[in-house]
Amino acid sequence: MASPTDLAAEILAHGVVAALVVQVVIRRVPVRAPVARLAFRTCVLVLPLVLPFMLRWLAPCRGTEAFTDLALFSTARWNRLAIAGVGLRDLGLLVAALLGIVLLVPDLLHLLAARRLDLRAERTPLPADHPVVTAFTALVDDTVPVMGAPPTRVDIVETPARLLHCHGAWRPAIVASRGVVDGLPRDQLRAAVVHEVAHIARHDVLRGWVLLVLRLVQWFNPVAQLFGRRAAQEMEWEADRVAATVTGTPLALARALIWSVRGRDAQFLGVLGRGRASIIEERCRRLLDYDPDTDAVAPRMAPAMTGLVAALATLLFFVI
Amino acid sequence: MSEPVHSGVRVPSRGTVGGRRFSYVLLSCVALFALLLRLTDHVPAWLRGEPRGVQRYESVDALERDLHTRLLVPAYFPDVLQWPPARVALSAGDGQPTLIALRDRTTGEERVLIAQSIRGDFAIPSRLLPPGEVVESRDLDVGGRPARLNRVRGPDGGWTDLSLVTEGRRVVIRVLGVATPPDLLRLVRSLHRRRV
Repeated sequence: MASPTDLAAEILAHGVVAALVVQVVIRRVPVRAPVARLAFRTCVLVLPLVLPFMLRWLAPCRGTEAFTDLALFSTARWNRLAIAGVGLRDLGLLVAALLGIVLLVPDLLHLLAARRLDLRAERTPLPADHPVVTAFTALVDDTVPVMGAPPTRVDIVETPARLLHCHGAWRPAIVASRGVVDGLPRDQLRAAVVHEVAHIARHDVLRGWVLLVLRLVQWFNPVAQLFGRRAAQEMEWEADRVAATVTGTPLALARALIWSVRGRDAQFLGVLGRGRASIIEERCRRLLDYDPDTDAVAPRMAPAMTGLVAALATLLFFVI
Repeated sequence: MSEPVHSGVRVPSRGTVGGRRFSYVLLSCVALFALLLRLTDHVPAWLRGEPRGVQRYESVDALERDLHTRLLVPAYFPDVLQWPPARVALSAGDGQPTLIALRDRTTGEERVLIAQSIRGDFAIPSRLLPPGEVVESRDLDVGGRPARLNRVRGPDGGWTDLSLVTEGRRVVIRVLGVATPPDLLRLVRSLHRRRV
């Protein structure tokens, strides 16, 4: 019977190996389509949670010493090296757990702040017959059927802050602040709305929650945290790509993005603020370099995913 | 993928990467990482100065030269056993566990296994002495040292294990097949550091 530490070490090892393989494959192939990269990265988050349990059940021989000699990599072997009486593997697990928490907690706080805003918008929305609400709802209603998205509620918050996002995994809604609706020129507002509706059409809110659950379960795995973050970015890039394609004006979305962060005190947030600013920079750069052909390059997904999962499962079978 | 992303809007067809290129890169990556993992897995054993799994030696002398120590071997040696040993091995594990396997002179099959941890009282790893189901267990006194005699049933038949700590080492003598305890006890009592 494996101890929780053994299991955590195996999950961590599987996560790191899967992440390295997927990252190299994405770069070397190369896979440019965010939707394909999102699928590959999700695979990295799911496999380490499934394989160790499944393989323990299907192949109990993996727990024997004979298999340890056959294995490509054994985490237990590293525990026989000790620093101050603590096994090196356990020490590595501790450092990884600390890193994982450092990466997870800021994102959780950010999510809670966004959730507070959503609740506030739901509690105190502008009246439905308010001209700002009417105009914005009309824009959303025009976009939703074109994008094949489900009916979407619109909530507008009475604040000059620049806020626009979607929420609701089952009953989607777009939350916008008065500041965004009043401040953005028409073409930029439309591009931003198309971006949000693209998220809704692709069920990205639900995907986001699934990613968060996967990250929470692997709180001790910094690689899972980084890949979870990156997967969330891929969703943004895909929504940007769709918005650029549908509107035909990637520059409008880039301008809207820059406008949304202009004047924000990134210094106040320190590294976190700089990190968020650099994410926006990257999205703008991708929009400026937007090329409908190269930005969508991906392998055929069904065989590619099957091959990737089979290859990773085979490799990870020998990582204990 | 060639289908539009959203119904009603013509999104340009996605470009595809050849399946052959994807497969080639994926398989190369898996092979490369398998190699890297295997190399990395050698590091702890290398740092501890022990084999990664089981290392076979040509003779007891060769093993003793490597370990800079003398193994405990029985002075009482029934005629049925053949010397030199059929198998001499050092395993990964605490206390540098070793194994000497002796053949039956008549059948040519391994008959007696002598396993010992060189540096202290540590359990002998199962890669040297595969475990089985203990059907009978008895505590004994061997020259004033407590010992345990186990009759064990394994997948390939039964055996008898006698385990004790002597000269600061955990020693397990396994007799495969039918063993007579008096013979086994004489074998254990005669254990001594080999002189060349």
